[in-house]
Amino acid sequence: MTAAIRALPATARSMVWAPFTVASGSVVSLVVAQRPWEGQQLSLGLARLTLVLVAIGTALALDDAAADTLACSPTSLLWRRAVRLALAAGAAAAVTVVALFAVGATGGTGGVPLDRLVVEGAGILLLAMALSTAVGSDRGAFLFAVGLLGAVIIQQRWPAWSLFPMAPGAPGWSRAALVWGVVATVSAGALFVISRDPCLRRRVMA
Amino acid sequence: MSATDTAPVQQDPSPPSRVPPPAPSEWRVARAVGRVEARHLLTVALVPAALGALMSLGYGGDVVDLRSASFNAAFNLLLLAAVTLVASHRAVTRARRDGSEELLATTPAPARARTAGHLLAVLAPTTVGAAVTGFSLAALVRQTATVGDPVLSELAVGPVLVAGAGCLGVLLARLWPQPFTPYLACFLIAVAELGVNTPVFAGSGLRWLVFWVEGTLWWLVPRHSAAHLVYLLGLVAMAAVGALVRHGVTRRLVGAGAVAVVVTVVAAGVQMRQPQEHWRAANAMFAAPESVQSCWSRQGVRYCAFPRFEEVMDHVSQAVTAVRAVMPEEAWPSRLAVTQRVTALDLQYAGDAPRWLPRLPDMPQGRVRQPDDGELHPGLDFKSWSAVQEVGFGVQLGAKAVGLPVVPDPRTGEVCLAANQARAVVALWLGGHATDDAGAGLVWLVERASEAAAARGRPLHDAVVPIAEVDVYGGFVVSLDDARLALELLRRDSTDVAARLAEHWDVVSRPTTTSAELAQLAAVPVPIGGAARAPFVAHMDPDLVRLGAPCR
Repeated sequence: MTAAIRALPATARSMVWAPFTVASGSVVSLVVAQRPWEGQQLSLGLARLTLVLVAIGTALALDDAAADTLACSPTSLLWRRAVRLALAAGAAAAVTVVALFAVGATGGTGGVPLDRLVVEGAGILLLAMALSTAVGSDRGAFLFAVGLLGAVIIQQRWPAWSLFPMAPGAPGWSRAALVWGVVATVSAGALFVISRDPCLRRRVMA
Repeated sequence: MSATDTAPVQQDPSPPSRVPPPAPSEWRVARAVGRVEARHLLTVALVPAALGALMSLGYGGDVVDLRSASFNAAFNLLLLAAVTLVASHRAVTRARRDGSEELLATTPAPARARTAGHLLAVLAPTTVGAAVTGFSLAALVRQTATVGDPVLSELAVGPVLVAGAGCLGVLLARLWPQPFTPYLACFLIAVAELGVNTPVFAGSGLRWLVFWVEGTLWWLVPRHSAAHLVYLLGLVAMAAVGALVRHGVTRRLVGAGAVAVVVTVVAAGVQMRQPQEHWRAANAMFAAPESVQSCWSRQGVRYCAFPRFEEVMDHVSQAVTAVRAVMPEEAWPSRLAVTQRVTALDLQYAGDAPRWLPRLPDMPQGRVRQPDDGELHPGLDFKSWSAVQEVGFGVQLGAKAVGLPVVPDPRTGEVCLAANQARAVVALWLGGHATDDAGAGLVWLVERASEAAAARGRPLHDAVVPIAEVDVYGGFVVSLDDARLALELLRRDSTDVAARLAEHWDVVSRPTTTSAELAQLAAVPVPIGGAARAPFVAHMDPDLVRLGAPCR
């Protein structure tokens, strides 16, 4: 644990924060543009778009150019990656929760169930991070974005498969939250498994 | 440092006119690069293209207006366009990711030729997009009955979007090769699309400045399809020229860029025009519909339709004929007029657009209600969106025959209570014959009402069913038992039921005859519920349907 804490500042310095910063800027812009303090209601579509952008920014921040060099260090891959994931996920969660809190505090949610939106956000974020960790940040972000956009397109034609209920009062929020909860759990499990040292992974498989 | 920075043409600070034009060998390199990159883009395009094609399946039984289908065709290609944008960017920046930029800079293939190759490669997903559009159109024509003609300039928007996305990806890669750039571009484009394709911009020329303009109110607000296509082509050319200019300016590029800018600006100006005469004609659809409609008679029924919607009336006419075939001749209304109106169903996706259309002062601001003038008023989108609309139209015709109100009370918006009345069941049974889907519309209503009553913890016995979804058809409600009895009758041989009804028409069309008596006359099981004690509308928003007094 001490090693992980000691690694925090150095890891944070080595991470690519520019995409995440831009995505966070878009969250702030969204909150400001929506003007919830004037009674404007939150746009669900825009909120989701920024959520996805934050997830992609976070996924790209996980890019670990020094992974091969550090593979022989005494710290395990799990620890090294946990530090990186904790930093990225913590920052993304902080930005998202602060933005949602700001919107909720001004009463501008427009009836959007924020708790379910948070579950959806957690699922989206963890999925992006899992894909990014599994196949590389750049390719992972690509697969993630394509998959998510595909899901949106599909639900336009087949609303019964809706992962993103289109309006606050629309049916399907509970089921969508359940699906996103499962996605979040599976993604977190996948993150744990693929972050174990390769030799340990092989032992488990055997 | 990128490959473009290390290329000799970039390091040469000489003025633009001294940059040599592309040598023939450069084009050969561009074509070769294009062939290889096209294969990569094709591989990536397969899944989104398959999804786009899949979106056009499953429309059996509907009538599709090929004009509105053309306006929305590009939607199926949005995923392909977004994927092409990101994939093009990733293809151009591959050398940067792999650390092979310096290696490439030493080859005889200059950066400009490689960029041109990436631009040529975009033709592959563009062709796929065109194929998907063609497939979608063919699938629609094969699966459904169609009205109107396809709008080619609108159908072309989808493939052009794919081409534009690819060229934009290449341009962005040459300007900002960071991996986040294409996602940010997609985000900004999506924000612009979401922001502009809203009711707020329904009447504004500004909405034409985004790439894809959805077609909800295509029949009402000006739509400049050809000018928009030219505008998009201009943007595509600008992106392509911009990517090439990054490696140095030539006279030919300057010329092409200037033409692209002029074409784009002129087309943008043309598409944003809002002619006054168009708005006057559009407003007449609400203010004086008869002044812009054409009318004709067929089999003793008078039909009136808006321009461009005469074909839809053929399907309305078929519904009238189908209901008439099972109705006793003595019950057929002596005078029947079927006049098209803009209905609530036609405006269901328009949101609060009327607020933002000041040049349509007669467009209703609130809920559109059908006039109570004794005529039937099908909408513009008849048989496209909702099977409830189809059974509803037939029920209105049945209501005229049995003496029930055709529309809700125009002053109060109330529907009368026809629970346990045989004539209401007969009206539903007649309505169920309007089209092949009409019975399914009634089944859907019964299921929704049953679920809603159970969810509210109210007895099913007290639930009453209006024939309503987005619009209200018929000015009455029936009990759930009555609706089930109508479904039971629809399951029986219609010739036999029609004969029994014709034999006892005086009895079954009387307000005092009960559903149980009708069941006995038709030899079907008697509904067990009887009259509802505390009737409530099970599945409709109170703003849409309010329950009034019993029907007389």
